[in-house]
Amino acid sequence: MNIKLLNLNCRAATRLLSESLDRDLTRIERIGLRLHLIVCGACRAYRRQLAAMRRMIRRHLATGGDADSEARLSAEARERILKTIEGRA
Amino acid sequence: VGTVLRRVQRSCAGVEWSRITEATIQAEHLAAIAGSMDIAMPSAHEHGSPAEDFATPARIASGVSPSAWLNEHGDYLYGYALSRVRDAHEAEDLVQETLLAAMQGFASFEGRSSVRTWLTAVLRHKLQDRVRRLARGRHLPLPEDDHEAEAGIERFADARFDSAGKWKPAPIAWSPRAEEPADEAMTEELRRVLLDCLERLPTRSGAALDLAERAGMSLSQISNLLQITATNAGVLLHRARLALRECLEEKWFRER
Repeated sequence: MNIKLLNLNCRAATRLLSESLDRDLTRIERIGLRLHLIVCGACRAYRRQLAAMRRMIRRHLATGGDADSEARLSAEARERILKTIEGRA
Repeated sequence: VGTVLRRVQRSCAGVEWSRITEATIQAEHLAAIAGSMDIAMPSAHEHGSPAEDFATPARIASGVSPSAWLNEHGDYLYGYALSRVRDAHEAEDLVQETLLAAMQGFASFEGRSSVRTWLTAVLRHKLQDRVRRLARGRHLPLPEDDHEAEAGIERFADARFDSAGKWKPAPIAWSPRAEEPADEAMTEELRRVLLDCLERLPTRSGAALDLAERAGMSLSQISNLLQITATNAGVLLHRARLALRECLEEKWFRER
């Protein structure tokens, strides 16, 4: 157990906030982070910003999301795809 | 057959036990072949490719009809692809790749889901492939001239904090309204700013962030893909997020 984890500065806390988005933190990491966030408004703001960045990227750029139901294949594209798949059949 | 067996065993007299066993097994194999005229070479159909497999009349009768899939689900697949890649040509290519893969893989479709659900699953797979290819092609191996950019973002990340490790300056709070623009034009503007800020990241940090946020991968998946340790991947992501945060604050949230 690393005693430093119970007395985090912002540099270490922001690193853990980032990690928490990509993996499960250990118990001691979670406790240390929670203690720091209680006393640090700047890191609480950063946590909200990390969440906001994730939401914005997911919503506007991600490879997930809702299908575009208005989209139509052009006649040319349809013809080209049909030729290709019939060529392979 | 018995003669063959005895001859093999005799010729092995004196060599160690495992060799004899091996020879005996071979002899028994020969015996089996000799004893049964039906057992010829492994039959040819076992080696047929999935594509050849597909073309059997039975398969066609059981529902492989790519042109019908194109008719019924083409627009849907295209819309789905377009919402992810935002480029018409790329989306068309993805539809084509999906239908081709679906033709080859039809054997694995057992009618447990609707054809559309199944085609969508194939498309999602293609989209994931594409993100991985993109990450590989663009970001691996690390280009020589990018070491400077990676060192730059490292200095940048260090400089966000003072010698005691405190923020300098502290992040300002972002307006929730700015995060969700009310109209189309503003949404498009936000999209452009986001892309622009992501584009500024050095290749490896940018790749790590793409994989985490756009492809939704975990730290272990990212470190596998980029062939770096999980610690290293964590550092790249941390720096990328600090840089993205500052870029968005400057270009989007500050004036709103």
